[in-house]
Amino acid sequence: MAQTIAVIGNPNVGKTVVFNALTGLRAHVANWPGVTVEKKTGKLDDNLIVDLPGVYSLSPVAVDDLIARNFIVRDNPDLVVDILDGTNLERNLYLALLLAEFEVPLVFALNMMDVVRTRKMQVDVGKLGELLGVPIVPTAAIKKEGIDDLKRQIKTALARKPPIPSIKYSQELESRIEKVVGILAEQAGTFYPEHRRWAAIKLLENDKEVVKELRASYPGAVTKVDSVRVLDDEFAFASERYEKIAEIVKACYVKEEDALTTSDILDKVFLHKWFGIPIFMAMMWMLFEFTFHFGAPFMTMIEWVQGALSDPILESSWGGTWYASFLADGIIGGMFSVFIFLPNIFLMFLGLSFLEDSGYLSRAAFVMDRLMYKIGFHGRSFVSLILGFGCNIPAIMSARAIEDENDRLTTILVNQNISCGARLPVYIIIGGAVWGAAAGSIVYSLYALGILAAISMALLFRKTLFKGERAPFVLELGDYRMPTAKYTGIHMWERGREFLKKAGTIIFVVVVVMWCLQYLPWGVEPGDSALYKVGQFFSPVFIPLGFGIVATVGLVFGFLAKEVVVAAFAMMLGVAEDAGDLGALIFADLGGNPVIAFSYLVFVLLYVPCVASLGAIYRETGSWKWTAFSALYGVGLAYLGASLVQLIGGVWF
Amino acid sequence: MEKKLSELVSGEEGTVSRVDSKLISRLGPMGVIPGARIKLVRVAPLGDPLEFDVKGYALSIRKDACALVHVEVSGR
Repeated sequence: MAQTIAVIGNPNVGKTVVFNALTGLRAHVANWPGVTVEKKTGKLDDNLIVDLPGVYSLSPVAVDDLIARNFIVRDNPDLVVDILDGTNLERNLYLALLLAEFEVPLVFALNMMDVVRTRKMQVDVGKLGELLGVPIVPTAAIKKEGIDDLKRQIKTALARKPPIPSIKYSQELESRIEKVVGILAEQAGTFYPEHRRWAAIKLLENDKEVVKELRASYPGAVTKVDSVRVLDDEFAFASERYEKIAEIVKACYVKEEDALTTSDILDKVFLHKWFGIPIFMAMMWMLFEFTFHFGAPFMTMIEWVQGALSDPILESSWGGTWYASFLADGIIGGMFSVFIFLPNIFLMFLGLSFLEDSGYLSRAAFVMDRLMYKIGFHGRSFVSLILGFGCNIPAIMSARAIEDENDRLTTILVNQNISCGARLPVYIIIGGAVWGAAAGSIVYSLYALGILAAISMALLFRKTLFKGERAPFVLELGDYRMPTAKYTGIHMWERGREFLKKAGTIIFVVVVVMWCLQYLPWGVEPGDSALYKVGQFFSPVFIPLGFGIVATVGLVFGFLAKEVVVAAFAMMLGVAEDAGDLGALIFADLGGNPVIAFSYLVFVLLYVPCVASLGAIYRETGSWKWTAFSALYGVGLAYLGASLVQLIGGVWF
Repeated sequence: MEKKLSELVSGEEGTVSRVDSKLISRLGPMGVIPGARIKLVRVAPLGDPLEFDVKGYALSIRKDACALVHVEVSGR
């Protein structure tokens, strides 16, 4: 009969590597119900293996913890494989004891044995297994060592469940556990009947989740339990667990004290008081260049392929027909408006995976947290904000490295204010025509305004939407490791693929719909199209700002992608897109008024970056509500910004 | 002498004596519990957060949370 195996472990113990080695890369990725956290499952023979998020305990702090905890305590896996980091046994054994306490059949994999060896640490694996009372297999998953043994051990354990170790506390605690077990047996018969001792311990520890569960079904029992609990119980159990761990570690683990590891030396440089920040800036610059500079030739290639596919259709004998245009501009155009982002997204994820797998990303958060915290973000938000200057889509997707939900949402929702590369041509063409040589400072001021808007919005959201105490910053700075090409590649592919699947479909559909609006009713000139009508419809809204119908249509098209704003003007004004006087014509259309021209640029800066960015927000938040909110507040802020420019500009000019 | 965790100086070591109850569920599993040895390794370049050596690994905690943890240091 097929059984279920859960793979669990602390973060950064090589859990994903073990999982992949066990399942042979045929992992199936889906989302856990109701959240956007990925659920990876695979097969070992006929048995289902589930990769749980990395956690430190079974008491939920964030979404990830809750998923792992609920899977263990509610879904009753037949076997739990806990991956332990051999170089950091003490803290890793804490989770191991918690699992043993839940009385679930266990197998331990003592991973990172290669590092244990190079560091000249010594672990008596046999004795460790004996003391813990759990089968334990030494592995170095990254080198494929011990994986066959682990598979064999798992199969043995599935066939004949290994005995469950019993963890005994001090007499004082045991007597209270007994009392609570008694209360539960008497008054809450169906409350974790198979795990009553575990439930009693959690209740004494005042574990929020378990207390909540008991209150929901047996409110009377909660009061009874409360009368048994003493104040110190909250940490007494943790203390005793760590005492037990200390005994075990002492008996079978030799770690050279005060030996300076490579990680320590690297930290002396990367976290240095004076060099830490310049090094961080250099890393960010490299990530940025890597993402966008190396992406450019691939984008040119993708554009070339698009042309090679659609040009023959448009130039064929039926090229003038609507269906030729539908195929070339609608379908092919729609597909390629997704593909065009792929080089940047994959390169960004490649760079980011490299930084994360190497251990630097947590250092980056450590270095930047103070500044970021002050302006409403998290140490990890910085990467996302910087990437926004290239393209908001990879930037929004990079925010998933932030654990706290409020920090993550804030980072995602304000990113659109950071001026991406696609907005620059609009600034340059209009700015060049209006201010000539001074256009440079206008462009700079727009970038600065974008940063200012992002910070203000973050602070505002913190005060309104994401009120309440901010999550404490508790972050492990794991050892540095040399990332392997294979796993960094897998990491990149898994994340990039999600963009194609989730955001890609939305972007494609919207582009096709926009095409239809642009060409409907059939056969009309662009000036009579439904899209133009949309522009006309919205035009009254923009009259107070001095934007005419042409300028409004520009904004409506700009919803598709910012670089289209200029093209829309060219189309409406009946000139070629590369015409030298296009800027001047646009300026004339904006009434020849520099204040209106600047407010138009401010509007372009602040409203929705493009439909693809909305697709990315939907993908990352999993919520239409936040997606719509992002679009609406963007337009509102843009309108407000443009109005303020005119108000202030009107006084001066 | 009792101090707050946020008051340690780089290289100073102490024994955790008290953890505010709202942080126990977060810090307990990380090994920051009464009785644990903890050492301030360094302060981040901008002055916050702090990096500690506890249970043989590196843990970073923001100062505001550190102010809710008390340590006993051997006073001079």
